[in-house]
Amino acid sequence: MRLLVVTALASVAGVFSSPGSARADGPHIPTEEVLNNWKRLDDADRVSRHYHVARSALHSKSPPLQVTVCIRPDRWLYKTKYQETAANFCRCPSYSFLIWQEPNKPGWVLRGFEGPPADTTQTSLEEATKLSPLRRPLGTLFTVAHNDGKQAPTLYEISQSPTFRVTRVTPKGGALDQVEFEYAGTTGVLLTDRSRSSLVIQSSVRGGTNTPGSIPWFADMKRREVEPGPDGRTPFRCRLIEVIVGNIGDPPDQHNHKLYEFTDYSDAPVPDEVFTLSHYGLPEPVGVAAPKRVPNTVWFLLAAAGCGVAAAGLRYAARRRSSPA
Amino acid sequence: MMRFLVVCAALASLGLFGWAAYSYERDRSRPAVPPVVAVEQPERDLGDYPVGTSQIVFRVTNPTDHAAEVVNTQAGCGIGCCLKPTAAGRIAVPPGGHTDVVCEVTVIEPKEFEYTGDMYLNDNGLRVVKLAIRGRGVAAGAGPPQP
Repeated sequence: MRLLVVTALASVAGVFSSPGSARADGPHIPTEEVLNNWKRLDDADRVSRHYHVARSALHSKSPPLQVTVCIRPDRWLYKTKYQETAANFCRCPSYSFLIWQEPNKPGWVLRGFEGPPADTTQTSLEEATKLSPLRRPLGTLFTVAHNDGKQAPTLYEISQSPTFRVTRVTPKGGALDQVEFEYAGTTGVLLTDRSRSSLVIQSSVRGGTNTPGSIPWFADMKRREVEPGPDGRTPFRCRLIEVIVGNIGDPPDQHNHKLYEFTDYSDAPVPDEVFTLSHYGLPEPVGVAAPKRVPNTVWFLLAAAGCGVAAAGLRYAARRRSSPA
Repeated sequence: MMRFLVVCAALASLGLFGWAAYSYERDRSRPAVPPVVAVEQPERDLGDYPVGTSQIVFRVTNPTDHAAEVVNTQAGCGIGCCLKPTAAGRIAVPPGGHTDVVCEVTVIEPKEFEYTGDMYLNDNGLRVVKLAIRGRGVAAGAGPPQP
């Protein structure tokens, strides 16, 4: 069983030493600097931009899935084309939808719709599309499925969980560190690069052994290649990711071996409309009902009572004026 | 002059009371919830149901005075069964009328089955209606007549 995961965390001893950990072999916690590095990568993945991804299955004759990813901090859109069928998935603060357009058929067909998502991460529709790794190319930690159902959380998201802990850090020469961790019934090894914001350049995660009867699985990211980014907010851009996932014990030809190639990065703004259903000729959701107003009857009754009081007051005043002192 | 004002105020008060009564009666006779496009029996227990492929129909009624449409019915598989509309895409539902959405149900094996999915309606805006079918698969010919 080979594999190692690599880490680019700041200096090993210093970086992962836990202030509260007295034992040399005890659990360590990433230092603030490493967490900040992972957060920086997470933030870089959320910068508004769009790019193209070709996702190919190695050892398969099928053509690659072509995807254009449009990212905003609070929404994203995948425009995919496989052979002649187009499918778009969009996630906005107000709703998520999945639409298809089949060849020789006019218009888009709504295949899935969900209301406002409960959190800012993945919806079940996005999970179904298996596209989520495409929008977090720098920070994604490849897994098969965590307890929360997310297929590709980011390392920073995982590191915020109370169940996440680094168990060992081993310098691997240069700026590379091997980081071993545990999280929610999974274990993993990362190879990180301290000189590039603690970027994970290889990872190997194992899970499925925490409950009886579950099938042990693995997710090995063989390589993540990056290139320099355009500015400080985006220090790097992902160029390529190669990953193999499968069940431990299955023959290699049953493993899922994928290559993601990222190209055509652009910071040009994406119009707001592309994130809406109406842009694709579909109805927008029924709006929230207006708050219940005071019935007109109440206002008429109040006015009538006012007039009645005024009439009584005037009559009383008239009597006082007409009666002798 | 004062007498004139008193009479005017009293008449206004009476008129407003009358208008309040009319307004109350009108609001009371108006339906509390405006009619909406609806799916008849969106959740169904099919009981003992033959293994294999058959059809079920979801009737969509439109009691409103505006045109509506079925935007799509979600196809998919659940536990031991699959559901797929025979015609994907949009189907008009005229005002005051109805339309039938025919779906193909495939029960895979003789055991409990269940599927839940969505039907998307355009009722002056997108609305989602939950569909559910459940039952117990039985060998073909052993169950009740196919609907």
